[in-house]
Amino acid sequence: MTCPDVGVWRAWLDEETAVPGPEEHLAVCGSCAAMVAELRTTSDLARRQMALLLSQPVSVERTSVQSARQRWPRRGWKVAAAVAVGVALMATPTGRAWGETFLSQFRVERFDLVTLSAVEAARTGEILDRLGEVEGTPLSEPEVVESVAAARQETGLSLPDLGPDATVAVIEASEMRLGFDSDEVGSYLTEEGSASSIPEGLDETAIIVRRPVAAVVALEEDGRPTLVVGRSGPIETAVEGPMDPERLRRFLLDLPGLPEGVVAQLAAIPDWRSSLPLPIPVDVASASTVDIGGVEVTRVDVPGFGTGYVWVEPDGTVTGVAGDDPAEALALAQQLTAR
Amino acid sequence: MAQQRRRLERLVAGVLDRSEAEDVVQEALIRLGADPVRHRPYPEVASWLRRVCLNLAFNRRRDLARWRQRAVRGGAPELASRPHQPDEVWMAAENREAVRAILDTLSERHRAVLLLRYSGYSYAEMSASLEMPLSSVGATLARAESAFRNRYEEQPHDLS
Repeated sequence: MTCPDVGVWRAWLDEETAVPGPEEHLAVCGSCAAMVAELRTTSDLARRQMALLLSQPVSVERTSVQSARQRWPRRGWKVAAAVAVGVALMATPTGRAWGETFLSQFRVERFDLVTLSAVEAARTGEILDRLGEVEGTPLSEPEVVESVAAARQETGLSLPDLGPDATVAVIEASEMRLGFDSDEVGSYLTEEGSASSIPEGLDETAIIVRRPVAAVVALEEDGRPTLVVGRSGPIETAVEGPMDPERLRRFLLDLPGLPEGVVAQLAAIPDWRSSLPLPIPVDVASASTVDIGGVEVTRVDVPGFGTGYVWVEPDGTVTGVAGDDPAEALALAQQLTAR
Repeated sequence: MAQQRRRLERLVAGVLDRSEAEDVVQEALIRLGADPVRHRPYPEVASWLRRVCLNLAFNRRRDLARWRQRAVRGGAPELASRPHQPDEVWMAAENREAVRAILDTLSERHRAVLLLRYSGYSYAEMSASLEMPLSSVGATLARAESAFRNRYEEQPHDLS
């Protein structure tokens, strides 16, 4: 008998096809026997794991019980670095920063919280995706360096020493550029039935966000960062092209389809030129503005994962602290703001 | 239709949380109302619905992942999908998300095959839903399971 192929054996295991004299064949054919054994093991594993997924209970209710194991995400370094450096400007629903969109030619001096749900975030992102092309990346991979001293030398940033067990990394400077495409914008407006006209000069206009080199110092446990501090030099934004920044801002805020609550919050930011809207996903996190030693600090709590603090210092340096122990994170934030 | 809807929601719940799965199925049903396929025999309609539901779910999952990445960079240490939950609920959710994370690394075809198979669909239904020859289903499933196992074994943790 010719050996059935892998697909036939797999279907046979599921009783979806017939194989003539299968047991007899397996008894005399070592390669088929090995293949079927492997298929069984693999499908058993897949079945068990998929059952975890597909037998889930419906609608998980939220409770006020804090019982989840405190830990950091497996994404580890990259996430920790993002948090710690406080690259909030890059935090947009779809990778297009509100910060990019609503800042212009000014250095970031403070953060303003913008709360939004996952649905609002997704909707906002869909719209921003239609505006044009983004070039550049918000965050390059951190590169581990020997010591805090080495990071200080490389970046010029003042960094705390968290002890001999700390890992130190440097993140290269980055630039993101959002270039508008009036054809894309026009087709979106048409789809939405909007009578708005496309502002003159939109095609030649771009928003640029520059983040200088940054550094991160972290303590880890079992490969997970447990306490992280990061610093970046002043974050700068610019509007390049013929459009007046205020006119561009008004046009973007008036785009049809944007969630009303998000627009209202953005429109209410008093000094939008030097404020960075920080999106807070209300489904999973909470945030507030707190005073630490006279410094206005944004605190973000993600239950089950920890607490982060981020602030902009008078010279424009952005500092972020995050830890899975809220008290420890606060103590470090207090220490750094007191300097 | 109610039973069909529950089956679809269960299928999509392999990709998204339940409330989002319900939204996806609702959207697929709305699309069905505007698509000529609604006049076709029931098996064709059912296959069409499964296909559209999976595509919508994969797209939404991708959008959410992108959004979470950006939001994380905005100062939240991590975007857990559930903030406060009792232990057993948390662990169940963690396990589900860990399996979803493995699925995310697979091709859409492999993901779809696994989701359909372990949601209880037959090879004939899988063939129709994925527009692949019936004779290819077994081999595709075997490859998908093998890819899943490889990714699973690369994980540093145990899913249980």
